[in-house]
Amino acid sequence: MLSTVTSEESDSLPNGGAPVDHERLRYVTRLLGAQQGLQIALLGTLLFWIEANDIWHRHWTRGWAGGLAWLVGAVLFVRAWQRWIPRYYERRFGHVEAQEMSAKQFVTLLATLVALAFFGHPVSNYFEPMVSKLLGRVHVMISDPSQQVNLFPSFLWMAMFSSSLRWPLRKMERQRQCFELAGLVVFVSIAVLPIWQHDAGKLALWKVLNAGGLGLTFIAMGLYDHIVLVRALPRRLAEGDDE
Amino acid sequence: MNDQHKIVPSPNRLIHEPARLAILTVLSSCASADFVFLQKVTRLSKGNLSVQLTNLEQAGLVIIHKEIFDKKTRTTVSLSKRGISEIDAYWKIMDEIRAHMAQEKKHRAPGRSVARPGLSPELAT
Repeated sequence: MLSTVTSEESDSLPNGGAPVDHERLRYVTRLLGAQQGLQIALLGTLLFWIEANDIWHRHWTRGWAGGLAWLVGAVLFVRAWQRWIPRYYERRFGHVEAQEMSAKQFVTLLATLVALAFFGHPVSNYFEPMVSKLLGRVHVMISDPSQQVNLFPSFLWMAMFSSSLRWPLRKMERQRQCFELAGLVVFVSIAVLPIWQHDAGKLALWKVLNAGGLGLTFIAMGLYDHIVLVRALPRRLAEGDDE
Repeated sequence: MNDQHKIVPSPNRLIHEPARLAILTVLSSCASADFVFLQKVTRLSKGNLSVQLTNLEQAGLVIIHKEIFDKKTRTTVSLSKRGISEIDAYWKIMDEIRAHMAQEKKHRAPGRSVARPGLSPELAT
């Protein structure tokens, strides 16, 4: 008799009898096809470095030594982005070509871009005072009238968490949601810490975490995606040709 | 005709085999995937995966492409147009079967509480 496996259920493979979770297969395939976690983490490191550099005020980042450090960093970044990370992913996980955009998605994207080109400026002019007023209120609420607290990472985590809220949730989506919730809690805690600890705003660590929030967000998201892949896909059994 | 007795379509047996179904599920989520990824994600042995891919290719459900990449052979697999329609149809049929079985279970459920002839109500429950 046929088993009644559905798109939401599991089946088993005949060779090992291990259960096959079709949702896991889809999730992992889309994840590898969409992005490479280490590249996102690398981009986050660069952002963090740029954001936090003003706080550290290291004097070796200026002058000829600073220029050399930036040059070496840029070369290493490009090399890692273009060669080392893609090659590592290819060897470690294999290769997946992401699905092409459907005609409907392409038309939607094109329409959005055209709309932004024509109406983006007047719309942003219209909303800008409202957004600044709202942000001003939020800053006053967290006892930060001078607007030193960087709220952008908290908003970003909130947006990511909200976009993942749907029902029913698969196991891997639940894990991601928990991670996003944890990230949201951490960054909101950093933002509101000066309310309880008035001296926190003067601490170098808080300043770095506050300024480098966007970079840290990218690092955390990239490493999470990478860890998900490492856990989902076992190491390659044999080297050499693929067959 | 009563809904309970309507004929339920049977799924494609070639696709219904778990290993092949896993391969097709992966391929339906991307444009193409290489042999290494398919092996890792489905956790099939090289031999088994190779046999299953050959079967699927012979059935016209997948397209296998070989190329030299970084001085090594890379085998890339993608779904054919027929494969895309067959896997979609398969999941629709499976969902239909599932809905049918749920309905049947619902119809049967009240009968369970009814005492069988010759048994006392306590034993029947």
